[in-house]
Amino acid sequence: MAKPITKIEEPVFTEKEQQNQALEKVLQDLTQNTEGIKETIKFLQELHESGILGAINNLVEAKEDLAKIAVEQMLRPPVTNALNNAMAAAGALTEIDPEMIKRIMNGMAKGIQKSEEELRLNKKIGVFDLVKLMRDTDINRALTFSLYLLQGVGEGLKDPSQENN
Amino acid sequence: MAETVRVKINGQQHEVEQGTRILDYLLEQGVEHPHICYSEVLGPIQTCDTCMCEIDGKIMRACSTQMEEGMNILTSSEWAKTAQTEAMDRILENHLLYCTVCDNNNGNCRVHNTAELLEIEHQTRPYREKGYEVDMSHPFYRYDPDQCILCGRCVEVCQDLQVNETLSIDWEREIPRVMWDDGKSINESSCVSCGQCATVCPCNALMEKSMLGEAGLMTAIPKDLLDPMVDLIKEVEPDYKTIFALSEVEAAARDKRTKKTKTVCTFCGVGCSFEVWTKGREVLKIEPTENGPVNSVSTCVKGKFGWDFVNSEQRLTTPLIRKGDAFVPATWDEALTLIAEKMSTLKQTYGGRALGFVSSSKTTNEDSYLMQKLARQVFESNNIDNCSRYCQSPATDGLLATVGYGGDSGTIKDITRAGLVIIVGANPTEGHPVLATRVKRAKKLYGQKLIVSDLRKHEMAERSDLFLHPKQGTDYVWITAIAKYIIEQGWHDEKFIEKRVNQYSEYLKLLEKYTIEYAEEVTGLSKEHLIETARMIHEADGTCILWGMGVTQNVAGSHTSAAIANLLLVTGNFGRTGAGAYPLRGHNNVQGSCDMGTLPQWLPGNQRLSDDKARAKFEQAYGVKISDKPGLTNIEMLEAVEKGELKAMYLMGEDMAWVDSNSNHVHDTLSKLEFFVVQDVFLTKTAQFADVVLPAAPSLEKDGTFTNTERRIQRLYRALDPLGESKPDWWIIQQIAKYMGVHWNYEHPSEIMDEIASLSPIFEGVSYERLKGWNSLIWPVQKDGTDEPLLYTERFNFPDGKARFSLEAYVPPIEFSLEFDLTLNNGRLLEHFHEGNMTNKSKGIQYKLPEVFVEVSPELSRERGVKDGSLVRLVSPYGVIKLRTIVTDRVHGKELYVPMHSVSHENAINLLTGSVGDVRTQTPAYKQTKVKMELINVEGSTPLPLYNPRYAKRNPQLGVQVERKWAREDYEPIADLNISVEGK
Repeated sequence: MAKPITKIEEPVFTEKEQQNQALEKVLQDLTQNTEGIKETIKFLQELHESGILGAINNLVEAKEDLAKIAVEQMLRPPVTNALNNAMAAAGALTEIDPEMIKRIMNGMAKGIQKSEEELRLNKKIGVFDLVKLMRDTDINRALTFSLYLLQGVGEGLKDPSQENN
Repeated sequence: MAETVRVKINGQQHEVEQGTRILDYLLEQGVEHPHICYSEVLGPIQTCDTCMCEIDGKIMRACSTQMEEGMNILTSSEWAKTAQTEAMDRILENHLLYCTVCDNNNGNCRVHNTAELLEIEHQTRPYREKGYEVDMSHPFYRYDPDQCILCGRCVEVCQDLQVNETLSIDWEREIPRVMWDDGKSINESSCVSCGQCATVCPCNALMEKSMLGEAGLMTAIPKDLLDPMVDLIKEVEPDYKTIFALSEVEAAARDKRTKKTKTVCTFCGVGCSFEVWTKGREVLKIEPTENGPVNSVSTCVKGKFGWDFVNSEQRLTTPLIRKGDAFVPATWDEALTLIAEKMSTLKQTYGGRALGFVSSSKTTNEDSYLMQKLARQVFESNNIDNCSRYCQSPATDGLLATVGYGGDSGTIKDITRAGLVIIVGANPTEGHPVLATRVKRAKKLYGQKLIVSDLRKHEMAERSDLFLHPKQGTDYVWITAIAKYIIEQGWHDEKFIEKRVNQYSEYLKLLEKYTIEYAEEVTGLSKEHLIETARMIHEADGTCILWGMGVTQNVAGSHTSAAIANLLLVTGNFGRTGAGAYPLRGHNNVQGSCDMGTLPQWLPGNQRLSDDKARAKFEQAYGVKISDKPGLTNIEMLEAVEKGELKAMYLMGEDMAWVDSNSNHVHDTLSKLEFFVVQDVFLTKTAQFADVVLPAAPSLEKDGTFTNTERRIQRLYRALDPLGESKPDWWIIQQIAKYMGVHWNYEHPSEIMDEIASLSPIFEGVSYERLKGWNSLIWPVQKDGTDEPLLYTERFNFPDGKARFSLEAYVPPIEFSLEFDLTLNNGRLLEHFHEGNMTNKSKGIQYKLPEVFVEVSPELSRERGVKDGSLVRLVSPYGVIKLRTIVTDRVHGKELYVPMHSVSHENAINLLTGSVGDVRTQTPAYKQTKVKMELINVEGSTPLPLYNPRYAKRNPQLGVQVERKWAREDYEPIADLNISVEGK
């Protein structure tokens, strides 16, 4: 006669066995990745010796408090302004053709080089020299760029409320 | 076929079917057009206004406007864009975009995706809170009014798809919101927790609680940190493109962590399929989609929320071997070695006849097939049965005798298309909830007629046009009398009968006795109701009859099932859409487990054991001789145990100790087995009698197929790894074969299905490839993959292609001595599944329905002096149970109702049921039980919590009623035309 039973005997050494099983799995992973593991250990040791690891640990432990502080700090108007500025700047930058930027940067580099050379000669420039230089195609191109840049900036600075005036 | 019209879309000519909705066409053409509230299933709700187009110079909705000849449609003209943007702006006034820290940011958020598609950068109307509290009252989902965009999708599904009629939008409030009933909390409302509102919510306003703080990478952030973070986003005001970019990065990252697996529900025979979202072993949510061939976005409380059992601490995670008065954990090798030793000794000593095998209607087709293969090949025994013996065998028998296939004649689509649906002895809103929603919808929206015959006035009865309340066990008589009456009136389909049905003259002779007067006398139904029923069948364009255990669990359930088929044959209601016989299969794989030949007289593929050719085929494939002598049914197996002829049993996935009738006797018998192996997910009552218990993996942890009540075969995929040392059933059975020295070598269930297909003509074209993803096949399936959703269009399944009238007569119910004066009806309730082993592990379900009770009619309560919460004892000739009462007019007079969801010695229903069974199939006559009631305590607390939906009143209306939104004084129309759409 098989009586209904609900009792399940706890297996002996289960915990130890489970530990061993888990350990075996970890060992397997370790042996499959020896090089990476060795490097990681070395890296962690360096971090530990320099005290960085401990600092990071503490920071992680306090992560929620820190996040709260960080967000609170970020909610201060100067910071939100900065964020808005950064985003506006980022937005503006995205509107500029990267090719143009490249050309300007190139031009700047060349210009700096050239002016340095000229400065080293310690030469004085007279009014005639100026007029002569304006005829130089390179200088003329740079002047045109600067003048129109100023015009663009001026347009951008116009107060929208006075647009129709 | 509708006419083709020519329209211009964005300057290009298109030829389309007249009446096609513009949005449907755009989506079909792969045009990304904004829309939030619309879906094919729900139809045009017209609340979100984001799909506006410029049509012939007017702004109109793409969702509700149909194609007309010569239309000029511009989907993204400046004017159309302005309208769309304006619509989105109004939505964002109601919804804060904190997507990156929102649990609904899973790539499928419709509000997020539409705002992004519309390239919204800023909004002109600032977001504002609505001033209502978040409703967290319900155990499974919550409503956040502040995120609600008032699209009304939730209301549409609740009113017109689920048709539970709880939700509405109060458009007349200063700021509208979604309401539960007339303003109750969700938990106290008439909500039945089907979860469809949360499923279709296009944002995070309605969310499954299991998702909250779990789905996102950063959504577990506590509120005192989250709020300032959201404030920061608002303060900084990045343009929405930046927000969307960030949230997409987050969504992509969480997509790596959230696993989405298609599965098929295991809680009833309807066969809902859906994705299960998991994070590790945690079930995040059940996500049905419109791809589900049966259920689309629909589920019931069990399918949507009832999966806690998978991670229950009570799961079996290692094989157990009985030693003394305790089970001792064992390795698979130890358990399998012991089983092989014992079983082969018993087989050698007594032969295969001394061994019994019980398969499950809950395991997969592949599991079932292997169980019968193990019995027939390895142990050379036909003693193989499954638990459909306890429910649906009589229905199958009745259909095999008349029309030739033991399955539903058509699909749920046919049921929805019928002019008249008759439900006999079934309670589909609780037993087959999603199927019931389709009948409710057809009735509410399309005027389908409904007749319900039942002892109990359940929801379908409440909704019916005609409710018949016959005396218990007399359905055969009224059904047959109506057939006779119809023929007398000349309302029968004479041509159909002549051409397609045999034994008509013999049938007419049988009918002689069953006059309307006789029916009145036997069933207690009135003549008027009987004639009205006949007239409604006559006038209907197609009649479907659905039946369940109220028919089958009687002494002649098989005769009544055949009588139903007879009535349908008389009226020509077979072989056409919107008609036919629909036995509602109770469990997820009742149909499949029978199709797989886990029956004592049937081989896989519904081939008779007595068919020499079929048997020869299996003998060749299995390399053994298969006896043509049918084996034992479950019931006969237990009898054989009593006689000492059956020595050992191997039982899979069935709590026979509580599910078979007359539990006391069954417990006694099980303890007499010499050797007993039980394979289950939990240590069930049955398993407690076992010598070896094998831990099985539930559906979410395995691959396989289920066959639903429609004969539809669908694949389930492994969502989780089996817990601990538990294993899929097919794996375990294969191991037993191996330890018995038979090597099958299946690597994957797909190989088992290939073998099934190769041996069974009706599954010839079935393969895992054809069943991939959401695809399904409805058997019989030809080699080229052609399946047959609607049976009998050409021929019935007999050699001459003709149906046969069944000539079986009425068998009156069992008589009880007078002291047992109350009829004890029993069955399911919505919240729980079967005896409850799985659903009673769900905290939320237990909270909503913690214990079983007995329903007592108001008349009887007055007579006996009992009230809600009284403690009573019910005594039958077989046993005694003790439970509390609920007084309700769902039951009538001297009839009681006790739900079957108990595994307690105190109140499990089958302690009361007897051992008499159906005359042809031996299915126990559970429904023919009479008891006496003894009052123990009048006063007591009610067993049904007051927040159970059964106490609340529904609030029916058609859809979300967008006209009331348009009628608001502050509503400024975006469209040039606002017309409500009828009949979505």
